[in-house]
Amino acid sequence: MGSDGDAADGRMRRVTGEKVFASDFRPVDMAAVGWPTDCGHALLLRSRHVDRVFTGVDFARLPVELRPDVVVTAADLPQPPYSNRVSADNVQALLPAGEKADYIGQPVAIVVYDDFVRFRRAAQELREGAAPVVYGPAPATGVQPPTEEQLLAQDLEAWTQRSFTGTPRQAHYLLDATVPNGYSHWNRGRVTYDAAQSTFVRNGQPDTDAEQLFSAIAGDMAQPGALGAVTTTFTQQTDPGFLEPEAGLAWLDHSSGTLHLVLGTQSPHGDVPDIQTLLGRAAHPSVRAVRLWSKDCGGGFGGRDKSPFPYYLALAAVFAPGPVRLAYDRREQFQGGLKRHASGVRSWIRADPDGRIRAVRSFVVLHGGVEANLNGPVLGLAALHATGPYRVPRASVHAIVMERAIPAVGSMRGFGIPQVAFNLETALDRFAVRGLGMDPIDVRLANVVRAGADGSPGAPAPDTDLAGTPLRFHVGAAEVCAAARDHTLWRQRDEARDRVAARGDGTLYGVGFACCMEAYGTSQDSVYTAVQVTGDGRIVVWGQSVEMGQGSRAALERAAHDVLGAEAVARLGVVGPFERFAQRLKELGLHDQVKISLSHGASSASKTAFFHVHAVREACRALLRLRLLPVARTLLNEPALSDADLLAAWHDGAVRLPGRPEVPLAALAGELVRTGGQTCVMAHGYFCNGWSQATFQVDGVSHEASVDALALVRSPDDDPVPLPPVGPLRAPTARGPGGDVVPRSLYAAAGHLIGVEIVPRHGTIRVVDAVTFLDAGDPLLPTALEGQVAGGLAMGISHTLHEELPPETGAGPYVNFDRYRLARYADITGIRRETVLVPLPSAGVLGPGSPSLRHKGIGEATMTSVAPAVANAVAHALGQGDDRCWPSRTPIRLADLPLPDDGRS
Amino acid sequence: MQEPNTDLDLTVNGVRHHGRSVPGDMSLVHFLHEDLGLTGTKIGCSIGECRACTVAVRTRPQAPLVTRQACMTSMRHVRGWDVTTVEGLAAEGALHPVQQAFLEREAFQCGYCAAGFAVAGSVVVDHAANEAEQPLQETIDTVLGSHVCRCTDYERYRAAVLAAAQSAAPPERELGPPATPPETTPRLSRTPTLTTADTERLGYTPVFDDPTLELIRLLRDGAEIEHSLLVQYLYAAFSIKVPRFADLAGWPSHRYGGRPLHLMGVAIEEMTHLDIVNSLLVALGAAPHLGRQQFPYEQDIYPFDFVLEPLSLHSLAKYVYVEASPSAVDPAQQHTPEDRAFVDRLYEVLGSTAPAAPRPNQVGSLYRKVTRVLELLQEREPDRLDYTSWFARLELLREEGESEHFTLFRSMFEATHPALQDCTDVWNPASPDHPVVPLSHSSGLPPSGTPVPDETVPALRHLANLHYWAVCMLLDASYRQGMHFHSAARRHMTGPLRTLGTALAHHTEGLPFDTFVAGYAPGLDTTQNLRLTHTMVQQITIAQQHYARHLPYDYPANCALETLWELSLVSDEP
Repeated sequence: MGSDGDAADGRMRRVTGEKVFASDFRPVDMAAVGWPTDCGHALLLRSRHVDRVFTGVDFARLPVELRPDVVVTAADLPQPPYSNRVSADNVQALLPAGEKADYIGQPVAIVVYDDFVRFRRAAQELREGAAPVVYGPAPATGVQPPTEEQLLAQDLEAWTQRSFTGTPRQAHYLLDATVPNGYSHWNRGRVTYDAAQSTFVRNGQPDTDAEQLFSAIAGDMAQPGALGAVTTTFTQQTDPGFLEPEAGLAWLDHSSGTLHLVLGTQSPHGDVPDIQTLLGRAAHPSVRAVRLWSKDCGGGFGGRDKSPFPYYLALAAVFAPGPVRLAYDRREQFQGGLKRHASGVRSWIRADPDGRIRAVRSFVVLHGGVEANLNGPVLGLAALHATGPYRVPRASVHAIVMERAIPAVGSMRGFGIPQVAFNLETALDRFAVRGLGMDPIDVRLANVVRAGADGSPGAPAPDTDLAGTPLRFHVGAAEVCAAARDHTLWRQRDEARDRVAARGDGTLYGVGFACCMEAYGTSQDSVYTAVQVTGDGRIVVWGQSVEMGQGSRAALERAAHDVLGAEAVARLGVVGPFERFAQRLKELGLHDQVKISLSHGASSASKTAFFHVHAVREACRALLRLRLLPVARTLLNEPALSDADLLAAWHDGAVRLPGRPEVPLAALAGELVRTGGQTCVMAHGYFCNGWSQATFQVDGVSHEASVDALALVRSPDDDPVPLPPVGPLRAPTARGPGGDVVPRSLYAAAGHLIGVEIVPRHGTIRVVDAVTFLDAGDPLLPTALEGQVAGGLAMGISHTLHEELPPETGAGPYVNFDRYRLARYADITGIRRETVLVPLPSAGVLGPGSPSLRHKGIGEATMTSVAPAVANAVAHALGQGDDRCWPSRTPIRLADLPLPDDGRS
Repeated sequence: MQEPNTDLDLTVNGVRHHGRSVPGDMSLVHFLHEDLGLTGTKIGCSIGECRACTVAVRTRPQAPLVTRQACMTSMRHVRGWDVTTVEGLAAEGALHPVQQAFLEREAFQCGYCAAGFAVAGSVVVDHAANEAEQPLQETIDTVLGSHVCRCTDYERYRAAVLAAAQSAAPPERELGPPATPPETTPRLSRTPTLTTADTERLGYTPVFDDPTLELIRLLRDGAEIEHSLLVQYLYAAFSIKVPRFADLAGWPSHRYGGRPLHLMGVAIEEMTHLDIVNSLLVALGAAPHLGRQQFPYEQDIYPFDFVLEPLSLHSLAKYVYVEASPSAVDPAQQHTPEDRAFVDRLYEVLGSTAPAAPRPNQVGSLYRKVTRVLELLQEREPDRLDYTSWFARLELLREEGESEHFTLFRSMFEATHPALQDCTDVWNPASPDHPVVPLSHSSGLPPSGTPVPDETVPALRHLANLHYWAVCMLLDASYRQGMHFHSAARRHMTGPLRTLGTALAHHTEGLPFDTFVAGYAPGLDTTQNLRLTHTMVQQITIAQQHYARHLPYDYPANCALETLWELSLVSDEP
């Protein structure tokens, strides 16, 4: 099992139409590795009802020539060996006849056609008419069920009363920083809520402290005359809208028992074991191994992170006579693809007259789909970010995800944070203007968190996040706010508004600000990489991440180039070699002793710059010190040269010692190859509130590494025998006094100043100015970073002003880009745009005493504050004379806003 | 009905592919992918919305280079086209300037949309030298305006195409030989009179002895009927309650080919029927016919009025009757109790409007007449047309009407359609399972001399009329010009008209479908007709700006701008 990655020069191939994406590939492209050249074509049949029994599929309802050649139903998946599930929560991959669907759109059968034209004709018919899927009688028509929007409002109302029973996923944070070692997740550990007993619970016991704090904060909010604001907001469910619908190619090679998958996925390391579980691992009669050929994704945004798609591709191949292709069309992608959670949030802010926040209370309801993806982690992050980048002395935050019988809702870009940021940032803006009469950015600056990474003696203790975790690492939230406050667009916003109003054509203009701090990484990030030099001095980087437009490939190539001084080529989506390495490390057992995770993570736009780049650099450093530089002694014929001298002499890809010939990387690598030396280093690193560290001793060289495992091999395909560390592995401090792992410790801050033009007579709101303030650290690839900034802004605008799933979503394959309008070229070009990067101090992201890292993950932070900034700009444009000037739901529609009378004659 | 294969004659990236046939309903992008192995052209939506599948096309040798969406273009429409895909942009080892500019400016991120942008950009560059009237930036914004990219904010694409277009050396305008005139030189031979044997073979007595004139008479009747049916079915489709009965309305469908499963599917087929009839008219040297009478439509060809009405048991009875073969509704020819009950029920529902002596489907009879007259023409002028192909297409047309449409409407009439499963008392408007919104129909024409009121419903009706008229004018021009404007006409139908119809239905109003009294080719000649079409589309841009605040959120404003651009490329042609 494993993947060969993809070492292509992607950009040139994309612009000339060569094969890059999974959807480009056909079996003939795999002929060189033994595939037959023809393939069948698969299609999923899905249930359109959850209120009636699915009784079977009846292909007699199709014209004879359109009946499939192969049909796979739940009846074909007996357990053992099969485990007919796509989640830990017993959501079935294929719905058996005789049962009601777990969710609307649940697949009931996979059909395969051996010929494209027949497939295409049948697919058209089956996509439009669901006749062959047969159901039992419908329940009696009763009261019209509430709409999704009404339901969300009802659920939020109920949640603020804590009236849910049962065990849907919940997340609670209670924080009291007004007393030393006060209540927090950090000090006490995780708290949950037992609705049946109406009490908070910690370590299995009722937690009266939590209950008291909850009541005290609630009481504080309810004080008559208290200075504060209550804000209720809703955000819509959105589709990732990546432009390449999910597609893949698979073949079960019966001669070897290998199931090959050609796939673009954000979670190659999760997909392979998940498929093995589905098939029953060793118990499966014909599949002996699963091999993933990872291809670049035509966009991802979280929507390809543990998507159910690979399960169906794999099943189709197991039952098809030869290679098979499964390619969703856009309607199926809308019907079956992962989405972002809709949200309802109600918050209370309590503050002093000087603008300092005293307490925040927040109830968050996320509407998820069936639990087949990442409802829990998304909910956890939404809750953790409910108080934003602010120092909140007392907080009470309670979040719940309602699992609905709709397609899986997942980890889309932003991961729950945009939903809570929309509430808090519009609430603060309105409260500053209407409650306090202050500049909204000044109010933010009065409350914004200060982290403790500058290392200066006597510096005040850092603030904490909502979990009470001290902010040890750099967060530039204050710098973001300060830069925005000083920006001309902000300082001259009233004049600009007046200027536009003076045109007299009814157009309104306003400027708004919003900011966020957004965690990057997953709290426990386990990263693998391998770096290899070839005999002619080229570098190959083997990475776990996948390329989906975020620039992962170029970033890893650049990281290797920076250390080794030569051109590098990255192979991404690598699985097999790292799984073998993980197996070796597990056998040693050292990692388990110190609780260092050896798992494999998914790929997101925010993971490359900090995590993967670090691992690549560490691997490069190890390769340089342990294998390449020692060769220089031979080539220079100076066996006595010290390790330190050689290291100091390494510049720009060569050993440059005064008075001696220059020894370039190619010479070192060539010699290494000639002598049969190891040319590749495989590494594993782990971050959880700090990097793991270890010391290795090789040929007398003691190497201090900010990773916890290294292996020296000739190729990543070799058996990676780990180097034995000297002394124990040094795990980072992952837990607070309360004993629980910190939820998050790495944050990037961002903010947006947005200028909007509202033309009431045209019914339009258009963003015309945008300044992104970003705490990205040093740009690793400036053009790629700028691309993320622009793309995050565009997606943010699209979510705020354009995207809306029509009511027919989910009921069938009905939605396409005609009804779901995301921002087109014509909608958002012409924005006056600027990026302001806030500087990173010299101590870097992690501060003194830690590895020097200078890049942060910002793929998501670039988008999160767009929606509230647009909303605040709309309020400014409308004059801020009324609470209703602040939009309370996305997408923002003019019809919901108090427009001046003259605009809507 | 599954249509027959179509002869392949298509040039892709300089290579001509011909001498074999391909399925006529296969889309161009699938042909590129699965037949030629060219996967550079991407599929994003399959309905022409996202533009990932954009290819550059000359529909005939001297035609201007335009963009086309390969996902919504059927192979039956591409004969003679010269197509350039992203794989064909580079020439002699050098990247096209647009490709180069994309790389230099890192215009894309994931790159899935890059092929569509590159090809569209190359079309802009091609026209860069001739854009005296429209500023270059405006052209770029028009051509790229509907494209979707999910990763970027489009600005690098915009800048890259602008740079490439500006730096493209203005090429000498290649005038080339004048466009080949259509091969419809009038034949001045003496018309032979019809013999008794001829009349017997035809099965009726034609009005004219000359088969061409007779065919034109019949085909214009046919065109008018197909057009009327199309409009009625579309109107009815907007009356369906969605999402519950979406499968009955069929909104997501954009396909051509295969049996229709819903109202939209039938409407689309009526559209293809209209294509066939008009194409045959043009092949005979006649003008295409997009006209129809204002509803209610009283013609002796049917025993009842055609009116624009929401779907109902009564309207379905008419549709069943209209689409039936002569035997299918003849009480004497029913052999099972179910069929007899169906026919009895049909006439019961038709009730007041059913004729004393039933006159079943005249459309099928009409096309049978057309086929026989065409056979006569073949005897007399065997080299004039590709008769085999026309017979096949007429057969398709008749089969689809008499068999598939009839079957579908009967299943709706009898409430056995899959979308109506488990529903009771479907056609009783008081039933909770009644699938219809009671749309009311009003004209979109303001009272003479008064403005269209600045209110939502009148504004939407007015815009809908403008788009409908533009579609008819574009189709008329398209039939005359090798289907050159079909893509534009479809865009107006699947975009603005669909969204306006949906929005009007929310107000329980139907699309007005008023006829345009001037007809759809009101100009003196082709040039004037194109100018007037241009003016009509400009009227849309004026109206959509004027009534912008009434427009639904999914109204695609760029559609008309793109059509104006396409029209501007050909309006100065002879």
